[in-house]
Amino acid sequence: MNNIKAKRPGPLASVRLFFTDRDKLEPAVITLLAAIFAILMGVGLIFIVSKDPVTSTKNFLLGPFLRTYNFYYLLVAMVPITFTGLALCIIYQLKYMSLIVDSSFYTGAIVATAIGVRLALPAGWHPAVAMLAAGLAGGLIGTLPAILKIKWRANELVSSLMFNYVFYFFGSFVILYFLRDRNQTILASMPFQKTFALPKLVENTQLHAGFIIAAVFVVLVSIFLFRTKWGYQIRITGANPKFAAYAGIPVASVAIFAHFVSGFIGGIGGAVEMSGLYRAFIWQMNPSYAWDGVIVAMLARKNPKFVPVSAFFLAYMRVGADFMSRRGDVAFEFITLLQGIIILILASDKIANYFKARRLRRNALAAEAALADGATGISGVAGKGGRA
Amino acid sequence: MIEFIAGVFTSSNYWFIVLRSTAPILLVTLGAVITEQAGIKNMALEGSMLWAALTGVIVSAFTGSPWLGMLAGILASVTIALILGLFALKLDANAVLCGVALNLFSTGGTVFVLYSLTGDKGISSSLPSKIIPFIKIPFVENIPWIGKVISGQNLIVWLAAIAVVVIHFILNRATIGRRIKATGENIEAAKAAGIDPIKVKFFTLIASGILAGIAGCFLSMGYTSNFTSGIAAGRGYVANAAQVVAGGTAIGAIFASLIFGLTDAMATYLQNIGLPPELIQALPYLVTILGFIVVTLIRDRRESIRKRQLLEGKLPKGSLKPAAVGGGNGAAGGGGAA
Amino acid sequence: MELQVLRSHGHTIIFISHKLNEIFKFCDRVSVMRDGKLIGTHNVADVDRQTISNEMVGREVLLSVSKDKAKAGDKVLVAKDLSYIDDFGIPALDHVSLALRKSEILGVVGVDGNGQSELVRILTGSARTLSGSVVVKGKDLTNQKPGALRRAGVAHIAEDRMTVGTALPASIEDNLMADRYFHPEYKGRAGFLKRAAMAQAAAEIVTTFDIRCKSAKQPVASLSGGNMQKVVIGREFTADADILVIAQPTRGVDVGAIEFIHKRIIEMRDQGKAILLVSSDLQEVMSMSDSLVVMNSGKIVAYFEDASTTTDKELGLYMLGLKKQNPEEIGKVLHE
Repeated sequence: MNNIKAKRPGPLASVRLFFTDRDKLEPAVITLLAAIFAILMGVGLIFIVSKDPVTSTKNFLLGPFLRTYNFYYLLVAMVPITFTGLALCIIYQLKYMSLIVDSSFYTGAIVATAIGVRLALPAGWHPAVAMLAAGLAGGLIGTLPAILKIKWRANELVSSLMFNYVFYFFGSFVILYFLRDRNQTILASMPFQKTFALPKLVENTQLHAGFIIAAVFVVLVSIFLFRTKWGYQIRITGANPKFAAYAGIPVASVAIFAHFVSGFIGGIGGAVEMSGLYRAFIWQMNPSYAWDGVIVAMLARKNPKFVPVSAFFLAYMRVGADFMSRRGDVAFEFITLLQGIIILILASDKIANYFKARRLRRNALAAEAALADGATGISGVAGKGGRA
Repeated sequence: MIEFIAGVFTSSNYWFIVLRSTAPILLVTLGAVITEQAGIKNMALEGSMLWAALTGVIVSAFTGSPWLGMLAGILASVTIALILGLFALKLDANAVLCGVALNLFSTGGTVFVLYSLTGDKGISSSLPSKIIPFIKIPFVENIPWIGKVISGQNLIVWLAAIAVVVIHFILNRATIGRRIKATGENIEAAKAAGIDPIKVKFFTLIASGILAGIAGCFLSMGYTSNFTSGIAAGRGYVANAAQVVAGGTAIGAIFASLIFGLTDAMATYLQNIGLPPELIQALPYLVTILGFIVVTLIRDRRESIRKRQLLEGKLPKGSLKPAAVGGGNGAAGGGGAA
Repeated sequence: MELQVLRSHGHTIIFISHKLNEIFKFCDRVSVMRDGKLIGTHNVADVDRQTISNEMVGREVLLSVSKDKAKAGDKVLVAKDLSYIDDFGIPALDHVSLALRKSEILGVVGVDGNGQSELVRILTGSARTLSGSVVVKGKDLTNQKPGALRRAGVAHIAEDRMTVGTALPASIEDNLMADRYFHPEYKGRAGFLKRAAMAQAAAEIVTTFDIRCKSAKQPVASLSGGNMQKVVIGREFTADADILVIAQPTRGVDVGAIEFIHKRIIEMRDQGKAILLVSSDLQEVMSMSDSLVVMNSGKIVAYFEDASTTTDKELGLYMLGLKKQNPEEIGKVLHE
């Protein structure tokens, strides 16, 4: 019983384990059901408000695949939410709730804009320097709610939401007063230098090298969380902060550092978005990709490995909704509404543990019946569920 | 600069705006206070306000009555609070995460509904919505300065003042207040005392829904005369920060929301002397954070001094309030002897 | 008192307490329960405190723990004048001093909630003392973080394995490595962890400490109470610490595991560790300890250099605050 092999199981074994281990399979099924439910609900809404629901539904569900342009656009749309999703995976592994990634991402975009407009650097170096600077800015901003929570017990979600307003207004101020292009009627920064643009992956599409950078970050964050000592500290602190402190893990610095890394990723995301997709800063309002990151991280069950899958799903919904709203009478915002519903479902332990509870109940009933039949043996009446 | 600020602080117009900007924040802060006292964080206040603001406008436009509009708005707001309760209390979801979800749901949902009805995503100006009346007080309006400050305020500003009294009464006098505090402080002890914590929490959620509903209606039917997307502008979040500053009391909520109201009203003036409006808009949120930090610093300091005095025997034993609850009345204190 | 008022109004009151003072103050009749059984019922007027405390403590045979006499060595941990005030303003720890010596088990007895938990938490860095000092092997570590105390060689078995001693959702392996993942044998270059080495080390602890599980990757939450406690003990006893602060090592643990844990504690002492043993199981402390202190109301009220010179009856009197040694006798615990 105690002969535990220290060897890691092969990849096939882990796949087999995934499908036989109900504790792992069931949450995945629930997640999938939540996603399907959201799509069905979206279709329902379309039928309520649209005058031509069939076309609208078709555009919503198939839009992303109807044209190659749309499909590439879907891939592009994955990029920012992959960054914010990864950033939030780290926060959620720590069991914090901060949404400061929104500030990190937005300020990252502002910093990148400043560098893209003002600095003259060789191509290649230019976006790289911008990303680094944006990452640092985003990282520093990211630490604020953690510091406030640790020093003054401020609820990190509340303080991060306050900060999000502060940094949003501050960012607009910087654009307006230092980087504005006065020849434009709408609010826009001066155009970026040519050297600032990331190369396109496919000509005549929007798909840019940021897609590759995002993919690299998926790998990096997975390694960071599961292979390094910092990731270990973060996961243990998240699993039980009292235990982590007792075991000697410096929980305060871990929380602050995790927020820095999370903000760093968010900041880079903002810079990638700027140099990959735009020729100037033209956001009239905050795109708030952090809120999308919440759902990406939750659908991925805070595991960076699954972030691309959930980012694809969300991008698919968004691109579909965008395509549909341009060609019909359904507002694009209904996607935000659906996102809210998905999070509600995924956040509910009772729903998430539905299968498990049912299984345990069935086992318990079976055991009881066995006892009533006079059968010997104390069968596997599993005690409480895994939750603490 | 000093002259300018002195000028602002003596201006009756400034204080008029202060009352106007404080009222909605005060209402939601009271909502945050009462739920927090019962031990549940209502992060969905923002969403509640959004739905109330939109529903109020729509229903008042279709019925022609601001009162029916307000009633519908409050109902919409309470519904959001109840959904939060359903998920957080019945389905074991993380209440804070549910709040985030409901706010997302509301931000998108209100725009979706507005567009589906009017074809406009930004503003409801095509709907002939009604306004909740402003109240001119005879005689008082003629009193110099004071008259200009308090006469001509919207009915809801007065409702906010009444709400303070009501919530103060609920928290301190009524049986329900004791139940709320017992639930918030120690859920097991509350259960042992025959209190149903779920019921109590639902009660506070409904109360907070009503308060946020009134505040939401004010925003679109008094403060301004239209619904605009994102009209709550983070007030629901500010309330959750102000709630801590308020220290769990209705009276504290006045001061906490005044921090926001004073800054918010000042913003209008600062703009006139040429400060960038973007920075001024950031000010209320920044000041809310700072207010929070300062209050916590003071509380922590006071507590550590008291502990030291206790240790040196200068104070009677057991005269400390529990730190986490932040100023809850001593009345419920001595329960845990055995 | 409100209770007396209620009684005079004709209410029936069931008052549950382990404090004799309260019982004798408020009650008319008293029933003593132990191990889920009713031991006896008396009229308070007809019974003395001695009888009640005897019944509470019980007279079972001591759990036979075979151990040699202690050969106490040098002082390795000296705590002086520790104080703690809880959030309700009650002084949970009131100017407590003690010293731990090598190769010695110093037991702490007392009715639960008389300052033992706070003492343990301060000695291990989990709580801050308002006065005094904690010196470990000559180094002042007053109010340092648990990490600093662990690095100085203080291991800690927390009294509550569910909320503090383990991270329930994390794997057994992660739980076992939480205090040592940064050691050179587990940490490679650039912050990378040697997962294979960690798995190996965890598997060894699982075997030596007989933790019954399918795999070291399964969450601690899936283990039974006894095996969960073995995870805690397996980690702390392999931490290579010179000082072990042990709180409630066998609370809620099955009989087999209790024996196992007791044997391990004695082994640790024989290897030269200094051990502080806190338990609400009087039999356990009495049979395991070489020396004893008794705590009441946040103070040390008695010290016995040789634990075998006292009896459970005598300890009961000290525990209930009915007897107190003079400061000189108590001060001997510092071995100055």
